[in-house]
Amino acid sequence: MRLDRLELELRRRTPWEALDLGLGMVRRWALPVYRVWFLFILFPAFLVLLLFPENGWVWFAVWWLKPAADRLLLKVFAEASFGAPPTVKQVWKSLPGLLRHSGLFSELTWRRLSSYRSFVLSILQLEDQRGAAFRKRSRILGRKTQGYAVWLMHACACCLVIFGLGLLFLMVWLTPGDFQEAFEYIFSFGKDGETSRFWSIFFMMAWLTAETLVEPFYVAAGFSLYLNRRSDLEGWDIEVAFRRMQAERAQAARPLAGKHKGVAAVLPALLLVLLIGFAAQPFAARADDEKEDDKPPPEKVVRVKGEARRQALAALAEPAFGRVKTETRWRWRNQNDKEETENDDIPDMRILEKFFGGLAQVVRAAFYGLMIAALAACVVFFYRNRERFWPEALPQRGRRPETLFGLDLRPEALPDDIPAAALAEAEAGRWIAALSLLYRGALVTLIERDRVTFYAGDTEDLCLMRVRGHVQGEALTVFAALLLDWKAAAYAGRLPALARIRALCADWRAHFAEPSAVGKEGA
Amino acid sequence: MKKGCPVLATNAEKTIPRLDTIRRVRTPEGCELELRLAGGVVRARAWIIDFLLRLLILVGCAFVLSQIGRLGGALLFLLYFLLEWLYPVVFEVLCQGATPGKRFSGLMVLRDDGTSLDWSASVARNFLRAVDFLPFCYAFGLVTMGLNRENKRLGDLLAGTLVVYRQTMTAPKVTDDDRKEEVPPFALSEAEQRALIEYRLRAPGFSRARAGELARLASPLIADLPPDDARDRLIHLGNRLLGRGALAAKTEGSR
Repeated sequence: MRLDRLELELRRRTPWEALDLGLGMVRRWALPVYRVWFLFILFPAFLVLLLFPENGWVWFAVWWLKPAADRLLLKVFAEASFGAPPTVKQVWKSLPGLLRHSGLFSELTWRRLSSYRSFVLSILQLEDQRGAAFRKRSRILGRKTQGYAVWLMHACACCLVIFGLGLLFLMVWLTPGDFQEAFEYIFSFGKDGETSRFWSIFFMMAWLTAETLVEPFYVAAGFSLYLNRRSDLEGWDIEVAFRRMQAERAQAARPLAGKHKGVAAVLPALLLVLLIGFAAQPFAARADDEKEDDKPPPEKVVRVKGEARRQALAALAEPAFGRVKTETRWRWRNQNDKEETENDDIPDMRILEKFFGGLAQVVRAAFYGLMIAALAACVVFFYRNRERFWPEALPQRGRRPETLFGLDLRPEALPDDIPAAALAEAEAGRWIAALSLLYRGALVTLIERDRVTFYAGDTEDLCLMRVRGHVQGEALTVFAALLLDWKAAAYAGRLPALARIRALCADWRAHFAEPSAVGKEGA
Repeated sequence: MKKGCPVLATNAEKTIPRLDTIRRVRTPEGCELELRLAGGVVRARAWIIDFLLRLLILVGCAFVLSQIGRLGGALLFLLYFLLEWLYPVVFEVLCQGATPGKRFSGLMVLRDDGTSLDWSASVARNFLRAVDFLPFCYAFGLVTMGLNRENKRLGDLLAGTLVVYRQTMTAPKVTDDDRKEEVPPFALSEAEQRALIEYRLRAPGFSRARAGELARLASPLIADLPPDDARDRLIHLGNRLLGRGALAAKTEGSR
């Protein structure tokens, strides 16, 4: 047995880890194993079951014959572990021998229900032990391992049930209609011809699928358990380490011995060779290149030979030098590819493509246009309503309207002494002008002095409301009286008496006089 | 000797590493940790233990709560809910990544980088049990475990966690009292030292013939000694490496 060829890492393992290694074996050698499994085991079983789908005895017979299948699987695993997974042809040729000389009879009779079948199989098949020798051997090997083999057996049996029932449940869930109906179908097994046939074939598929998932693992884990026990008993890992030491020491010793002897004598010659070597280097390099052109390119990565090469490869194999990673990502197809495929298209499709391409452009342009319009609308909206959003930002003066509801409020349009001017107007018979003058003067004073804000659409009553709270007592009544007179004169044409105007003028002077000077100053 | 050379060549050039169940994690400090991944059978065993434990708790509480009538029934359902969803989360976060079943089986849960589990990872891996459990008793989980190299079920994939063996491999105890020591004829590399120690620890368990046979393989160390003497020699060398025996004690004292 060439342990150095073993593709399993040798180290001390707990039996649990050995079982885990079995799963790793299934993963690594999935191709050679499942090749054999599908061809030689699953396919015949499937055929037989398909012929007699409703005969329970056939099912039982197929199940009972499982040890025969295990032998094929074990052969694959055992040979793959030593680096040479068998081909389908090899397995086919070894088939008669495997069935005859691997203790199949005992396994199909009194050992069929044994709990550590897959563990013991290695002793029967690979060591070829029979009778008393077999019993002794399995006692020794099984001493610390049998319990784990039992765990393995039960775990695999459970997995079989789980996968089988899992498929059944999946089927029931994915069947339209409610659960109850589906279950009724299942349990009408044997009564209704068509449904029973369907379900028996379904059960068969489920069972075979479950076996496909579980059986290779069962065999691999049993084999791994066996290997682990033997490695533990016989020190396989130590053997490999010792052999390696032997080889390394031998290799290290050989070149060293030669060098030490002749170093003194060789040194000058070596220098000379080095010098010549430097001088001749370009030529040598060219010669090398030419040689390489003739031959197919050899491994380009490492060109050193012998010890250095071995060490370099060993160093590269260490995990510090990273690992190979496969990344999958989407990328654009080549422009060329696209054109090629387009050439095959019928012209109608091209027109469609152009049409939709144009449409897409239009939609895009419309979208951008809409965005710009929306932006502009926003700007305009905010500009228009800037007073509402940023009242502080506007200069105080700017807030002073020049006209309110058609009345000219510019200070320069007003005379210096408003009551006097109003009285003069009244005496001249222009009552409306007199009242207007007073009213406008009052408004200007209110705006300037009392910081009352009026808006363009305000009515007289609204003005009064706005003034309230800014002006107290007498002034307010005066303003209200003035408004009343103004309204009566302006809208109803009822003119006040001259005495009334005089009184108003006097009151006006008392309450609104001074700040009109402020208005003047501002102007 | 000649047999050995091609061995090394094949080992060095092999691109596929040998099959093992170890995941190596490199810490920022440059240490390499070996996490021994746990597979389906142990984990199923741990789950069964946990399941039985929960069942036991539930049955025990059912006895007590049945005394207080319908309220007891309601409380029992609440308890069942909490046990089902929070039992693994709480234990994994608060008890070093292991539920009682995992602890009993020598397992623990770690994050992919070897750090211990936090709440979010534990919640993610355990709440996804509901999906792993589908369509029947962890069928999806088991299939997923078979499909990736690190035996992860869906919850582990989501949370980025690993289930590993808790203990480092314990070495077998030396039961004999051969305490003689010998000094190796040349400086030993680390791998050679490990092999010698391993031999020292396990040689008493090998059959005499096998022990001799193995010892003969270490030819640079034993020259041409017959198998039994070679075995003893290697054991003495191993004693020295292990630091057991009189010679070690003497040199310690002289220092």
